[in-house]
Amino acid sequence: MTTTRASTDHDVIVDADGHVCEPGDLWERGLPEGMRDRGIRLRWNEATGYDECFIEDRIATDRGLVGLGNAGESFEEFGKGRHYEDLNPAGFDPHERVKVLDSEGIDLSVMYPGMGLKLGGILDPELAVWSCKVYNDWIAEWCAAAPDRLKGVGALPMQDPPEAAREARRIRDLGLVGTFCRPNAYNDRPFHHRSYTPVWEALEETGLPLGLHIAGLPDMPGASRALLHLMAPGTHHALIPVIDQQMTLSNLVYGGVLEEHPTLKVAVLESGGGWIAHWMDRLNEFEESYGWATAPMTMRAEDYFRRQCWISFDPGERTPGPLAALVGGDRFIWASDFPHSDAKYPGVVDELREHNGQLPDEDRRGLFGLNALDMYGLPRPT
Amino acid sequence: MAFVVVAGVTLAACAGGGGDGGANRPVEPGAREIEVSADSFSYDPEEISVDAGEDVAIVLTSDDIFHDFVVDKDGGHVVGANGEETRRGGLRLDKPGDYTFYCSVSGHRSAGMEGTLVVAE
Repeated sequence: MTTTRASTDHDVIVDADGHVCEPGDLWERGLPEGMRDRGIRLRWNEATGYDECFIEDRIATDRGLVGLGNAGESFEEFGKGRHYEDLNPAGFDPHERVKVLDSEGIDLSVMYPGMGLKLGGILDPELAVWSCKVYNDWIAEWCAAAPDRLKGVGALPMQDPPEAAREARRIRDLGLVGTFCRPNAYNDRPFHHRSYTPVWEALEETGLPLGLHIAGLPDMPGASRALLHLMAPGTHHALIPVIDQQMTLSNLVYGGVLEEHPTLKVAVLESGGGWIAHWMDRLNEFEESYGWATAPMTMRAEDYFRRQCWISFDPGERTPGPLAALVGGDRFIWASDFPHSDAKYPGVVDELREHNGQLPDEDRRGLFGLNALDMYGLPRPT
Repeated sequence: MAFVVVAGVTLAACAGGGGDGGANRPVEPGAREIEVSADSFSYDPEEISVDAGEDVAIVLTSDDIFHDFVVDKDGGHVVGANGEETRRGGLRLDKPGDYTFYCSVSGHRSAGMEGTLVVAE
């Protein structure tokens, strides 16, 4: 297929975190027969006017699935009356997606799950392992429709760390460029639990980054489950991602994971980026008071981040410029979040340029695309 | 005033937060010694066997930072040791069964720092 680069300047534009809309029956078709009635599945509720998402024996989402694919449209009443399958075709179809990349001026987009964001909420480890396999096989094939423009990350079944380690190696073999999991405690074990060691070792071996991506759902231990009942309308998605990501990143540092695994790459996604400098200062400071309790650390918290982490900014954030000198401009990436309801569409690259086009050349090129290429192990343009 | 939370017990920050999470239990004369090493975040060994009613001494060596040895159900802090120190604490359980021992320093148990104490009849 013809791949057209729409950018008219010399900056390569890489969307580090876009999303797909999986077929509604992906897992019902792909799972082993004995698991199909427990995997992710959709049912239309005529009485409520919403698609409902079921996982195992419970309802995972009773409304709002429209938000997975209605970028640029109203999300009033959570899209009542609209079917999941009628969402933006660019979420479902890789060819349609390339058209959007062209019109938006994006050279390459790295794909994260849509409904697959719920994979972390699966309690049965065996079901989780198979569900991730189904997704990973599918996303590899989806991106293969336009390999120069579409890249995918694979889902890790962190419910079973040894299997997640095996799946990480298979993700590499599928040609995917990264991995994904939720920044939440799988089966009540946060990521500084030593049971995850095989996963970190596999990710170091493969060079695949760990993409920490929120779902903003109370289906796993974390901020949403603990705090949702205390939150004013509209605040949930503004705050929950930040809380979960700050805690998970802090756990990786104070819990010794980044000390023990110096080549583990970590991407902090969809929580904005402007908080990272404050986080650095705070964890540097509290290590002085609490270093007696943390895992042994040979560096300051900020140095671990600079060594092996990246953070994704929303295109409308104004802080990449002021923070580049403090944090390291080579650590910054950006994401469209397309086709989710909170994505800027159309005009995401215009917004990115509006707020960050004035950065010094090196920082701008890094933020706009080169840092993401480096993080995902992709070649820079010659 | 800032507060420090360690294993559900709230201490004032100005009182510090390092050192023992509680006094080490006295050891009965003649108690069988069981050596346990601790580092972030595991014990060695992870399974210990004692007889019901037997007096033992947990000889805890913390390899890196402060760790302690707390037994659930019994609800007891047995012994704590600062990094590169060895300390002894007495333990006697009269009821047979499986107990969990763990490190009560905030975040250590959630990192996997626990083991099984098997009390045989």
